[in-house]
Amino acid sequence: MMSLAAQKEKKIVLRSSDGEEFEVEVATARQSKMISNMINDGCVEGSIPLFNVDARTLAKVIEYCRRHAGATRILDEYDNPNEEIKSWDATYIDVHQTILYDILQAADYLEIKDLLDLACEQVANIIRGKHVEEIRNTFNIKNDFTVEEEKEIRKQHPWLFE
Amino acid sequence: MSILSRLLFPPPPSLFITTMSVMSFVGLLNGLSEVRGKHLRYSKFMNTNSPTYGKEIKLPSRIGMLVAYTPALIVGLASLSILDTGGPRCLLLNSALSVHFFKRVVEVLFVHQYSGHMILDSVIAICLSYFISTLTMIYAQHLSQGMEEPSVDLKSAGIILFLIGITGKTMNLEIVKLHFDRVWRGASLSPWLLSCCILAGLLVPSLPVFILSSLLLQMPSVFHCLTSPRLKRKKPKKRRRNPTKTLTLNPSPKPPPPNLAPQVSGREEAEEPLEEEVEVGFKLKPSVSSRPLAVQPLGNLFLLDPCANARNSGLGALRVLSDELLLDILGLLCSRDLAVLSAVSHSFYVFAGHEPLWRNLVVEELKGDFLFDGSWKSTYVSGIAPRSAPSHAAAITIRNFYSDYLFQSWLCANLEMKPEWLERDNIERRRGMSVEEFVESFEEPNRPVLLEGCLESWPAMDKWTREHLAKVCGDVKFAAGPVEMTLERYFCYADSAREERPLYLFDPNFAKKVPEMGSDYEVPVYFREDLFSVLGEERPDYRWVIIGPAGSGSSFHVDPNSTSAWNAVIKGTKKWVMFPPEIVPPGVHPSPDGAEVACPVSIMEWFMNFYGACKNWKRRPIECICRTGEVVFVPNGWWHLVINLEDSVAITQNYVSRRNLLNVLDFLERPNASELVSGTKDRVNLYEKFRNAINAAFPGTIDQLRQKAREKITQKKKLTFWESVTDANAGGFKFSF
Repeated sequence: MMSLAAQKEKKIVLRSSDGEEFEVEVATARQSKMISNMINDGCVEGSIPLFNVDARTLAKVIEYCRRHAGATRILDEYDNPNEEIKSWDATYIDVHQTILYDILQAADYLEIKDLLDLACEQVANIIRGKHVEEIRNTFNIKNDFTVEEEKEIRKQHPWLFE
Repeated sequence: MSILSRLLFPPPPSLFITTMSVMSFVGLLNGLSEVRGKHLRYSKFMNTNSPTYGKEIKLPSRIGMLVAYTPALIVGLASLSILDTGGPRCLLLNSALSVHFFKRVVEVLFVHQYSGHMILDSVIAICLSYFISTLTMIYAQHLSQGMEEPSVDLKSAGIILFLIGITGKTMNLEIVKLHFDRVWRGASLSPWLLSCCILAGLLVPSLPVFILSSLLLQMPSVFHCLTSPRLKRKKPKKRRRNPTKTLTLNPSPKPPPPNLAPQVSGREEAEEPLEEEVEVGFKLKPSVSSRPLAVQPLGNLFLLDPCANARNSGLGALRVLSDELLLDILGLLCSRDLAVLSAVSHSFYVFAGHEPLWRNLVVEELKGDFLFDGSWKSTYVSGIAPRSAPSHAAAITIRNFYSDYLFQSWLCANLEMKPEWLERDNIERRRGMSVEEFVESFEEPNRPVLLEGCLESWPAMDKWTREHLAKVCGDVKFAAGPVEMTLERYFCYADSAREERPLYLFDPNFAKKVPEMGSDYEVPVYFREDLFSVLGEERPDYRWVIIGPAGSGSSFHVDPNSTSAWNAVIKGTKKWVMFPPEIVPPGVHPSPDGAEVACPVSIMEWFMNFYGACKNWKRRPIECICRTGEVVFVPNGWWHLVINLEDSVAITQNYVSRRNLLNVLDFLERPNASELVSGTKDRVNLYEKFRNAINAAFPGTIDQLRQKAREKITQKKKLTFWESVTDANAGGFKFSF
């Protein structure tokens, strides 16, 4: 096992699907369970190719991991309630839909549970409280029900249309 | 026969097709005779100037050939444009036919050079035969829509053969041309080229190509008509015309192979009971009435336009997310939002109707206070808004929805246990064994055994009918998974539940809740020693009543606190699979500290994906079916899986005797005991308490046992020493001290 100081200094290189390389601290990289396992197994020599994550998404994900890798230490020392990080998260995840889905998939692939939860919650928030037509507009969905089918759906969800 | 039946569709129901197939077979024979040199009188090389043909009406060859091919081309093109192509097979056939005749027409118009004439009679005959056989093929293919696909898919082979045929024929013409050019110029053609030319000429005369490719498109065709009568004699009852619910699925369902999965086309046959089993497939539970949403495995999309998957078009921007992620997100929503989503599109109708989502809502909001009516969604609706009567009108049928995740979930909920999963029964069975023998042969060596005939004195055996239990228990609620419910409500649920992991009633406090239940059974003589009893009220949970429908059960686990257990079946039957402590079952991944066990999602999934894995292991699991009145002894540390094959009621009890006291103490003493120990409030101090209580009740017992264990170890070592000596002895009298 490396000493803590050495670990701090050691950097890990992540390569995005479109070939861009990002140098990150071990603590940041370890936010991803997948990469953390790779570090434990000692297979992080050179750069780690991430075939499912493009540079734009990876930059965004690294931003999150860096903040949270730092946050754990702050919390340990000052025992802060995590209000600060919560509001940071809220601003962080308030992005355009397409970026949101990219982050969500990257978090799933890289096994960053907190980020995955955050992104899922954000998508759920977009859906919550909307009406049928609003949802169709938000996600660009065409209505493919026939008139009879719509009638049937009203019947199936009586409390929806009361 | 079975090979043929896998390759071909069942014979067509139409007399027309049968007749036409026989006719085209005759046509094929005709084609063969052509190879032998006896031409139908249209051949490009026919000598129309010969006097025999003198009196008949002649047409210029080009016009004749055009007349012969054009109607067939029109049929092909029309089928492409008019008929709603039902599937990839139809589309393939129609385009192949169109391409074939289009090529012919183009060749006639621009490629071939004709000098001869054709007889009008022949022109009409050829024209009709092409026209009718094209029509027949398209019609036959049309009829086969909705039939079960043959288990071996020949589509791609058909495509390849068709391509070889069509390019081969073009090349053939080129070679022939070349050949004649060279001969004409007096240049000698290499024998290789000549033989190629002849071979190609033999292989690809137009009619055989035609029939061969149509065969490969797996149409009900000539050969099938010829063989099917025999098929029918040998297997009189195996053919089904409308096998919409019949399932043939490869045992590895992720992802299921493209053509072995069900093509669900409609719900009309819902009432038809599924009786027969497909040879290489799984059997669905007889009560499976219909596919609620007709979700198909992704593999079925093979060869179709990906846009045809209604999943994607109906999800809009969310299409990029996997099924699992999407369901995770929907799991965060409340019922109102889910209901709104299901009205958004076909695709969302399927996702938002996913039963486990509604099960969670019921469990969270209604707790155990619900009357299950066959579907979690409608149970929720009637539970939340009892006044608005839930409509049980037919659910909307969604076609063209492909998803492996949802399909597998449905499949696991509706599969019946395969007979080969139940076959193996290698546990030792004993009847009327003495306690000493049990201790010596099974408890000490820590080996499982099935005990017969030791529940005869239990009042529960006769008394515990559903009605009796429901009456005795009344409003008392029992733990069933995450909820507590009355037996009456649980039985109501169990009767109509059809899900991957049914709620399983498993209550440790039944005897306190309903004392009568506690006195309706007694511990079999073999398990009377119960050292945890020294802890009195503080003892960990140790006895459970277990009630569950067929398909319920518990996935692989090791019993808590390193205790041993017995499980007595009062009603029903249970399938057991057990692995010794040192062998972790396939597909099961305990964490290094043993606190968590990662398992397949459901028992059915384990059987589908992992049961086969240990078939060839040297040490195979102990398996058995435990029936009413029988008891299984589960030694400590053994991995076991249990699934109910019928509605079952059982009692199980975990115990500590002197044989496993040290194990249990060691287990409780582990540093991470707070995570491992279960069934008690005070996890950390259990070790101290138990040890002290034992020392108080049975002074010196622990020390004696430790001493004995040490002796055993040294004895074993000594034994091996002497054994080695004996071995050496046997090997050649080489004693050396």
